[in-house]
Amino acid sequence: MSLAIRHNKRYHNLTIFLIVLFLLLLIAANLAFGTLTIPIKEVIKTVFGQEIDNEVWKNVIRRTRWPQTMVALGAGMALGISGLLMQTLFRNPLAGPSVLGISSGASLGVAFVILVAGRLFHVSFSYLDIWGEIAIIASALIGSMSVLMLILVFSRKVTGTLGVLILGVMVGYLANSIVGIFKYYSLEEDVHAYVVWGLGSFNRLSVEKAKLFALFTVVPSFLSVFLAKPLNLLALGDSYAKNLGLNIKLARHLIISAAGILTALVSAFCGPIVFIGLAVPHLAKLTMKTSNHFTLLLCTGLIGASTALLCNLVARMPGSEMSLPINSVTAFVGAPVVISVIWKKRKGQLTGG
Amino acid sequence: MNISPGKISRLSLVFGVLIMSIIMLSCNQKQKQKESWKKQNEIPLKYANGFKIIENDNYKQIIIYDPDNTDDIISRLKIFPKSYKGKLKEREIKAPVEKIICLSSTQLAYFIELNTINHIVALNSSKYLFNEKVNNKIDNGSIKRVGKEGNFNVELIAGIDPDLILVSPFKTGGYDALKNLGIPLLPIASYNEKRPLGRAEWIKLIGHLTGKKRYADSVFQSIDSTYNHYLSLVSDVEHRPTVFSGRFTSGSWYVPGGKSFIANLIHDAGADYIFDNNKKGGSPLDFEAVYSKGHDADFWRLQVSQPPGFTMEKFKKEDARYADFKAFKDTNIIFCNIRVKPYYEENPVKPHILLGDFIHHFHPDLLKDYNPRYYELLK
Repeated sequence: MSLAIRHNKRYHNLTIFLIVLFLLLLIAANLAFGTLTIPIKEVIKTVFGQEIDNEVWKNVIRRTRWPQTMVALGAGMALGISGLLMQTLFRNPLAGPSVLGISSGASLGVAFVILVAGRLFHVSFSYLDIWGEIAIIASALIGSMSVLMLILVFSRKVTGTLGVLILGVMVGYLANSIVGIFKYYSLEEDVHAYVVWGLGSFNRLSVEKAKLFALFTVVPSFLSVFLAKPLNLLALGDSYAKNLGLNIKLARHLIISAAGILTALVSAFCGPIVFIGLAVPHLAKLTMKTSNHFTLLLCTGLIGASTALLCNLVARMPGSEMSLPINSVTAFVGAPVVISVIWKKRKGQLTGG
Repeated sequence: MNISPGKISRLSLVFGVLIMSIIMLSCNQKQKQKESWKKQNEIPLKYANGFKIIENDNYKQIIIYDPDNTDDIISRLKIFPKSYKGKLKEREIKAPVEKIICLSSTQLAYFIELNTINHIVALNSSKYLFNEKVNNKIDNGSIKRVGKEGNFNVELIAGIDPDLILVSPFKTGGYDALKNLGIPLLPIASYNEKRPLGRAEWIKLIGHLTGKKRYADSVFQSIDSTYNHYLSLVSDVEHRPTVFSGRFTSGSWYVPGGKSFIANLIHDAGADYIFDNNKKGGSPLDFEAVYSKGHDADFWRLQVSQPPGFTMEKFKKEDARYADFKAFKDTNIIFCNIRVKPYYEENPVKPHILLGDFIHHFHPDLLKDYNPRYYELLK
């Protein structure tokens, strides 16, 4: 027995080490490959702060690839963890950050600014200038935070998690239908601007904002390991957890807030990024073969960051001048994972984490 | 059943011959069609690819093509004189057409230029309109607003009962409902003409519709001669500055193709557009792609929608990386603010002024006393 545990621990350590290595490799690849072919030597020099002669290369690495890498890393981490929190809380393998309607709330906020505010106050946000960008980020935050508040208030009144889940889904539908009405009555250029926002992107932020974003996503992501214990207990079932002395309401509040804030941040700065939050927790469970949330949270964060970086690299299509919208790439990675989960469930092997 | 390789090759030969003969036949037919038109009186056009007007004894036939693919007929319309006594069938109207609905502000340009806005009874709901006469008519209700693409107020249109509706052909949605009203729709494909003079030449078509055929011809002629005069100014310039266009929005840089309207205009203005490809439409590129190609270009062309008072400083706040471009450092950014300038409702019939604006900026010593109308230098 003790041998098995030790063996398990060694396996976990090795796997985490490999994942970290993979993550570092992907960070390097994100800095090294893009439309421009820059010699690796020059890339390394630039990354380590040495001056290089080619101004263009230097600017591309420091001011285009570097912020993109930070944003992808932070967003992937935050979405993965948020997804895991939701899946465990709702005991639903197909739950994700969007399930509580939080990203729909962000969309509604942005739709209001782009589609409605423009007409009310005669300001066009179709061509985003600095105030437009701030307005969009703020409105996304306000939209998602108000949905989060609504859900927290609701979850205090009802006892079951299922009710909260249904409320979240309903809020999502409600938000989408209001967005639909906005879109229907809006000018074409505004609708286009909204659609482009909805495609999601990791490369909207300047270096300074990217640094802030990374800080505000990576730190809370790591802090979420403190939720490992209540998550482990909740995974056993509400009554079990209660008997073991867990304050279920408090735990639920903490988990929903953590997941909600992470999702809100990502939606506000990058647009609604789909699938990473849904798929990554499954990847973590498949590789780690454990139900201990301490390990799972850590791995989900790392794998989430890696997945986002990988998607970003694919979306950038190194060597070509074109690029793909990030959401079409994340779905490309995410969909097979979801399909495999369903496939396994059919075989009755999925125990629900 | 056994199929030997010999049989397969024989079969494919038969198929090949069949397909070839079908292709040849259809080509022949097109040839015949084209020839038969020539026998009638086709109105000569210099630049436009997207339409044809054929004059017969008692009616005119209008044919609208896709300007990118002139084998593709989009629509036809027969125009009869007012004196015509017969009953009008589908896709037949009498000219001058009295009640026209324009569903794009680009089409409005031709009417404004021909002084025929009294033929317009309704417009789509576009945001910024500068023309005073049109705005007055909207205010006093003689021009109605009927909604936007894909969401027209069909009952309002039916109530207006127009004789003709001008639509833009490259958008989908909403037209089927209009077709049901039994009102002829005429797609105006001028926006897809990639040569600036080709877009302007559509004024001739509007001239035929509104009974101002001669005036339209003379307007076009003067546009044409001014354009060509400017063209001759730059025909032997020694230095051709390099130019790029657009900006980075929401994660991609929408770059017009090397054969687009704007690229043609830049070329005609004695400058070189840096994306010298064969594309007519634009494509979304990433920042790196544009930066690596455009970092040392001489000029930057922009179209913005901003409140008055757009400056270099505000532009830089959008994206700090803009300051890395040579055109930014040299303050060689020319921009057209569509909220300040009547660009959309005029540009189709003002290619000569667009060209003049560009030459004024690209070659300052050639048009010294010129006062640009649309494009300003960003300060």
